[in-house]
Amino acid sequence: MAGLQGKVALITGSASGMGKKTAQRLAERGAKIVINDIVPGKVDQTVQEFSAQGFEVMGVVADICKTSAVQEMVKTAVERFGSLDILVNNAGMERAGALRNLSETDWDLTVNVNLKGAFLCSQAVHGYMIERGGGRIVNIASRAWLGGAGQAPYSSAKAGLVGLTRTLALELGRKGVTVNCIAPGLIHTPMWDELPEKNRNGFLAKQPMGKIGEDEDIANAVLFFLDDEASFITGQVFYVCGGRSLFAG
Amino acid sequence: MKDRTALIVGAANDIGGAISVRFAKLGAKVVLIDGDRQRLDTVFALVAAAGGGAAEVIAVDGADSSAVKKAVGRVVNKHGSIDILVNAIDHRDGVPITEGTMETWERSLKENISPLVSFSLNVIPVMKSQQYGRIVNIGSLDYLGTSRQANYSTAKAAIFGLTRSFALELAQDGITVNQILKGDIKSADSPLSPEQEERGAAQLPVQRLGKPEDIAYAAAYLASGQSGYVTGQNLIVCGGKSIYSSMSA
Repeated sequence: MAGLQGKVALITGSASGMGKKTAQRLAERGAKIVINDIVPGKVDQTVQEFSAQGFEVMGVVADICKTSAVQEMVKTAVERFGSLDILVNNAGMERAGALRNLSETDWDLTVNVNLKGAFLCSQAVHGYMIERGGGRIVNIASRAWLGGAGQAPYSSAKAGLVGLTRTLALELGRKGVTVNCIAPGLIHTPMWDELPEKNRNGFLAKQPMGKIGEDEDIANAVLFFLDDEASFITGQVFYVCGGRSLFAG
Repeated sequence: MKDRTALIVGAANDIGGAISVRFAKLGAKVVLIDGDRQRLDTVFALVAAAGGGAAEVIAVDGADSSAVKKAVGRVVNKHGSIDILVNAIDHRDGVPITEGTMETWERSLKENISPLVSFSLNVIPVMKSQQYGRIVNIGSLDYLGTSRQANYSTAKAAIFGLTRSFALELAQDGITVNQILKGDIKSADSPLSPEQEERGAAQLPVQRLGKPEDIAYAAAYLASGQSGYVTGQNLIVCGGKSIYSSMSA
């Protein structure tokens, strides 16, 4: 895999979890990194950790659901690093529950962060990519876009992200910008470790591989799509889920 | 991929050749397999020039099951393992339905499917004993159905079901089975006039036809240790053509 020397990458929601792991891998390959999160302390800490490793990094605390905040974030990043070549729309959250129990706020929050945020960030950065003759956008969706009981807002938002991916791939293809989507299945998180063993076993029983994935698996897939050599791959939904997408239900 | 033993079945065609060269560059011990000895030798020269010192050539008819068994046995004896199997055999005859006969149908299905099945059946026990393996099948977006390619489309649709079934059955053995669906690829195997190329490129969101190297890039990821949580998947490498189909997500 070629390096990403000199490329500038904005990864939303990158102060923890798979966003942070992806940012780490990108930085190791020479990219300049823009860390984003809505929680100031987490951004500061990640920037410190990355700086200590000698990476070129800046942090921006921004709510990606707000046009002005997103525009300001992108402007600041371009002022500092000169361009933006890579956008990973990774920020996500979920308010889950049965249909009858969900509130309007649950819906709005989930759809805004997962879908509207990706739209606003893509809109704000794509002009810089076109100026540079190309770019890469990777959206982190979820296998749950196929549908999941108790996941109405999240599933809908992630399905929306698939539509956004395919549409932007069509619009930006001739400009050298590829837009792809990764659909993770179960990934190891701190929340997973807190689940009772019985629940974990219930999930594992439905995993064809009998195991769950790690942040690293997602980061590897993101890197695959970001490479210059991936220029003939666009508009795709790629499942990193241990084969779970082969099952219905 | 360093020091992994990789069987490339169909190494004599342009895509199999590009995959062989790439894997050799990445340090794999590449075994080039095809029925076409003369073209195999041409690819071997390219692989050797790319630094694939450990490469070797086995000319074998993939439809001859005892010959396939012998060839796989020979590789195991020599290397002690088979880590990667790429099935890149690809035959299309372009016969319209009304000109087709049972013979043309049977030949197409046999040429496209038999080597893949035969090599898989012989290699999978080796991979199971290692509890590690990567199988990458080269399919085609034409499996979705296409005019004047009914038999080819049928054969490629078979590979779709095979890939997913193999993936599920081998999921707990450390073996992943995935498929690359190639779009419109320009290669010496399917020569185009400049006008045809221009017309073909104009129809794709990325405004260019693919190259064998685009497929080789994707194959390298699926054959690597970095894609361990990816199985049963289609990786569509088509310049965005698949977006127009309802069955591509």
